[in-house]
Amino acid sequence: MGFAVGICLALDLRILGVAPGVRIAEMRRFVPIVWIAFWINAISGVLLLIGYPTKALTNPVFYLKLLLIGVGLWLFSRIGRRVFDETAGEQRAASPIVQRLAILSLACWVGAVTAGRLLAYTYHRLTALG
Amino acid sequence: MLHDLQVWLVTNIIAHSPVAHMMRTAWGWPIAESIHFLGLCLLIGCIGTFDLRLLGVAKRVPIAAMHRLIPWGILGFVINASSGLMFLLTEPDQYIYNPSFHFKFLFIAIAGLNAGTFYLSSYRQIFGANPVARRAAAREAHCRDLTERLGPGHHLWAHAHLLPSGVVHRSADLAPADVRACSGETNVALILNFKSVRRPATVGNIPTGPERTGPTPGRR
Repeated sequence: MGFAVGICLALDLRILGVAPGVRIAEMRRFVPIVWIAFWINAISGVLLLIGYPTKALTNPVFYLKLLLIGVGLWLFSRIGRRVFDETAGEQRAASPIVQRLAILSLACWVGAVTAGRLLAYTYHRLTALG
Repeated sequence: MLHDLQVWLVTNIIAHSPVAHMMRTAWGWPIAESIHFLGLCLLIGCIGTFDLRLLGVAKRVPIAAMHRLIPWGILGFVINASSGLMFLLTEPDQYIYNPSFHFKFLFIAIAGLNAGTFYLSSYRQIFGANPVARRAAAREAHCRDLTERLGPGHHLWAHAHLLPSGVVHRSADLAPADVRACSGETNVALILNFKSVRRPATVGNIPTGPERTGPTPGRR
């Protein structure tokens, strides 16, 4: 989670003006790490889900978390398509659309992490038995 | 002996905790945990990517440029340390006796020592003896210069001029003439691509006072 969400946050911060000396197109080198980290999370998440399926599947917050992760990843790839360009990347990163996408992406990850943590406190049923 | 210390810590924390009441409300602990995890993401996203850069990922990114992510990683660490302290001050017996917690602290200490060693060795080799002091000196010199040009009454304005939100720019924003006009120390800061100080865009046409707050030509 640290690397998957963290690198997305770092990319969003870079787009919003942090560390301007880092050429944004070069940040594409970190994309594979995001995906490796994401799949580690996805697989371990599925294992946890198999452990207590009822706990998560009966909790609306779980679906909110999945939605936010989905939108976050979609935004990540959309932002990436625009800014990981050797020549036009910097200019596109400064455009209002990409700035807005970056803010939205930050909000999605903050929401996803918060929703994920709240899962431990908001479930109604732990198992199908009660 | 160690056990006595642990018992003493737990008893005293439970007796005097300033945050336990708030943390035991319905949302206290969950919110603190969410903040703790967000701090973790920020910490690993910024310091972890810097470490990856040192290990050879994205070699074309200058290390100094990448280093500007570090303050955000430190922010993440501060968020984590303070939210973590709130857990400790609420349920000390969950942590004080817990070997996993001891290991966690050990690893944080190793990370701290590692960072300290880095800043005292490799970092100095890359950026010179004391880049932070040198940067501060460059800022101070620039500030003195501005104060001299504008008169002593404008000292505060000169300082405000150097605030990060204001006229602190990266080298790419400077016209070549501006770079030539900068002092040697400032140029060091520019070359290192740290937050660099900037002379007024109107070199030779000195602004008249603190009321000059409009956008500087060429600013983004």
